[in-house]
Amino acid sequence: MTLGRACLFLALAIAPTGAIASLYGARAHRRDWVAVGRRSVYALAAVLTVAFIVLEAAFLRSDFSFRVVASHSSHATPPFYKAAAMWSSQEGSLLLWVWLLSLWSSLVLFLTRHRLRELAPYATAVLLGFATFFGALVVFLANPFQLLDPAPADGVGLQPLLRHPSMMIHPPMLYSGYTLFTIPFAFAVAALIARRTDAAWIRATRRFGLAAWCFLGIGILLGARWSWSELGWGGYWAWDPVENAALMPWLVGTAYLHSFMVQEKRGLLKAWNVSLVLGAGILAILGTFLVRSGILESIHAFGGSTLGKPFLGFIAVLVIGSVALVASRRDELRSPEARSYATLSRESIFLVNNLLLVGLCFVIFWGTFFPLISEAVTGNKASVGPPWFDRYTVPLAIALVFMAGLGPLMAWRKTTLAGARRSLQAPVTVALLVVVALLALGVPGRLPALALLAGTAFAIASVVQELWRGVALRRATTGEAPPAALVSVVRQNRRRYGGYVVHAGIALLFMGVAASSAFQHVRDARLVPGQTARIGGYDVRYVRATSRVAPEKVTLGAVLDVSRNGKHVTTVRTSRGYYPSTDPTAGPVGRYFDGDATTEVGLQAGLRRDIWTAVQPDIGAMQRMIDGIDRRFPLAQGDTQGFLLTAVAQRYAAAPPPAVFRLIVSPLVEWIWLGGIVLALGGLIAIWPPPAARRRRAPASSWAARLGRELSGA
Amino acid sequence: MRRAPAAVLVALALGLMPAAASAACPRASLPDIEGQVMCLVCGVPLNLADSPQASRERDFIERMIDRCRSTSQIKAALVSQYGPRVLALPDDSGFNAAVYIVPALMLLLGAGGAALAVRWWSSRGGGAPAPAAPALSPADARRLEAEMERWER
Amino acid sequence: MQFFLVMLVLCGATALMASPLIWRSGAAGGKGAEEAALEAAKEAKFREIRDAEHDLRTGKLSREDHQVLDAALRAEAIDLLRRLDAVRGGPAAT
Repeated sequence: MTLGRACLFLALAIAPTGAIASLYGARAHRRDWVAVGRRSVYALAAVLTVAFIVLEAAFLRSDFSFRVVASHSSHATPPFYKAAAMWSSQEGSLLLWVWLLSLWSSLVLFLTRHRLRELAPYATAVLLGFATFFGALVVFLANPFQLLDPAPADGVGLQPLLRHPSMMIHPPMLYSGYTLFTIPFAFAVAALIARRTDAAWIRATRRFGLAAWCFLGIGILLGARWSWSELGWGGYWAWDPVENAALMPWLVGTAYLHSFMVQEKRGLLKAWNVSLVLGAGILAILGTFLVRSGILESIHAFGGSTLGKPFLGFIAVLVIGSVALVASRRDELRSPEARSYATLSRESIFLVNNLLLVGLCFVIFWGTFFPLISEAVTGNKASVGPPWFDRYTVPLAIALVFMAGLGPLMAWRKTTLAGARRSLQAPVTVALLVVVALLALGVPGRLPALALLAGTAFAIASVVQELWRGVALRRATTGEAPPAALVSVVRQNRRRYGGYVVHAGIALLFMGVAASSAFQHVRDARLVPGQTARIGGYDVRYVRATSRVAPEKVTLGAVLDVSRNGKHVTTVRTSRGYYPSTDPTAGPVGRYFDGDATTEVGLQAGLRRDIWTAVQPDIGAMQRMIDGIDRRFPLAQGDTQGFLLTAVAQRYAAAPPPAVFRLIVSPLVEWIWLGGIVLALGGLIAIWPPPAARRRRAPASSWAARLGRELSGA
Repeated sequence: MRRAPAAVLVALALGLMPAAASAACPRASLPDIEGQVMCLVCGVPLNLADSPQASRERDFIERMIDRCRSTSQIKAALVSQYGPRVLALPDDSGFNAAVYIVPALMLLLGAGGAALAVRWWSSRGGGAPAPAAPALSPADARRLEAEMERWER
Repeated sequence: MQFFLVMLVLCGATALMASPLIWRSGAAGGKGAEEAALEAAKEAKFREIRDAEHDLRTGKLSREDHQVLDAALRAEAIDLLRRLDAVRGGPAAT
């Protein structure tokens, strides 16, 4: 038996054993057995790490005796992509999933080993339950260590579309997000089982929820970036089921990160919070299911479909179990000690924000699954595409952005009217000024886009104002220079200011979304070298055709010169790569144009606008030539085949037929990614633990005295 | 199968439109229409699709654009050619109405629930000034400040 | 070689899992649920007091409202500290 396979079997033995040990330890109050359960998670992480290394090494060594390596990599695959090829496969990505689960589970159980005595064993059992399910999948249904005998000389290669730098980190980010969401899930289940529904479990897992949210958010944005710069359709979001599947737990996670503060402060929303955490965990599993099962038609059709039934069964168990658990603990989830708050307060804003986020999640869920629902009911699959999603999500997004600005301006428990008016003044003025400026600049008055842009201006102004107020207060007491005061203020309350930075990131992101979707120029132009097409004030001239032949593909492209008012702006290169089909009946040249093809986007990114170009060479015009060569040299291989391909490519470059170009000028689209970076930074600030050695500051009396001085001077 | 004669009729009707119309050609755009139409075989929006069916649909749209059809005319022609499923915005007849009604209903219910929750909790004394708690003893006040200092945000 | 590695991993994992049963550490210590809950509540209360101060200083809360709120929060905080003392000093919570 090979090492990798043995590790998987061992993992499948460890996970249920550890779960049983944990449950026994909890029931019999045997701490040693609880420790066995916890160490089972460590052991699981260790054996899965070995399995992961074995498989990754096989990919890097191009060991085609592994079936999964032969079908997802090749000698010609660049080393960087060989390393990432592992998670392009069903088997490798499931191994990645369960490996990440074991790592995060080990981390949380290590950090809580001296705390949450009553909850940890149940949480361990739940986490090991997840590991058992995914372990069983990789052992029985998608084993990455299946061997081929004899091993082929070369592999099939990595799916061309996945050859993009962000594909190295996009799946691990998403899967980290998904697996991290199982941790609050596990502790929520444990809290319900142990009837300890106070805030302790939330406190212990808050950082994991936040990390899940951050990783998933970054993963989603990396996917969007990949779509924009790699897929030749000229967009970053298509409401594709797999995109939606990642967005849903993220939205519910966002809701829970806000509403748990209401529980912490007011003792309210216990049942709601626990439901959100359970919901986010289940949606994370659903997300994995959608990407791996291929049950819904998607552009992410990289997964097979043998996993549908076990996944559905598992999700059904999770849903039924969660509902039953919450229902059976409804008495513990009441909030007798709940304290009230005023209508004008941060609590109310959070409630509205939760409604919007969960509403958005429901809308996306409904739109994603309606085709299946309608097929089940009527026998006809309804088409639910981007226009449907836009209709519902745009108003909700506008409201959410305004809430992101309003939340930081409100006080907890009660905001006085005068205080609210004072806080709102500047942000509202900025929002109005932005609208007036946009209209004055002649930006077309599209209401949703204008509202969204006004909302983003409002949110950014509100965050800046709050940061400014904090800095000003700090400076008044310490006399620090503004940058130092800013750092101190943020350091003093990472949760608050990390959150505000996230809000600013979200606002920047939506600014990019609003501008790029409402004001972008798109056109298709059929050009021959020397011809020019005009778009969004830019002239795009087709300078010359290009071509290149490499072992794994033939590339036909174009050099485009972009100018504005006669002044050169940039030169971009776009191409289309043609990968050979594996059809044995195809000719030596023709097979390259019958297989997969990917677009290399010619992109000039900028803070003001992106110029995006993609070429679609007219292969049809060369078909006669290609067919003629295939007929004459049907068995050409190696150098002869290379020579023939080069001849075709050179012919294309010398006398190119008209090519169709998609040209896009998209304003502010870069701000989506910048907003993502700001968002991640804010998340990091909020996650960052306080200094281990708690610093001693001024003595207590001096704090009180200082506050007194400030108030009397205010 | 019944759609075939209808498609022929539509195509004929469009083809017989007077050539003079091209003088004021509405110039629909393929990228715009692609975002509103599905690739029937692949089940994804046409702008994402790269299959033979997608190419056929694109060719159909381009022919219509060349004939100066407006976006809505092209969408109507697509429906007679490929059926209502070709549109990315489902029709609102029969069971499909649920795709529009259910989310709206859920959002309304949620809004109602949230409004009730805000009112209920805020009516429990949040608005009115609560009776002041008795002041802490100096020893307690000192201890609390010291504990808070130690806790340090 | 493969067999040797497999056995190594197997033995390592088994030893790791079984170690608590072999070397019983006895008093593992650790906080009980009651203490953890009170700790969480205390931390939340401290944060709330500071948040209220911040809201006052940034003008979102009136001074009168703050006085009432602050007194209540501090009373609750002291109550939590006393309960924590009881849990830590008294018998282990069940």
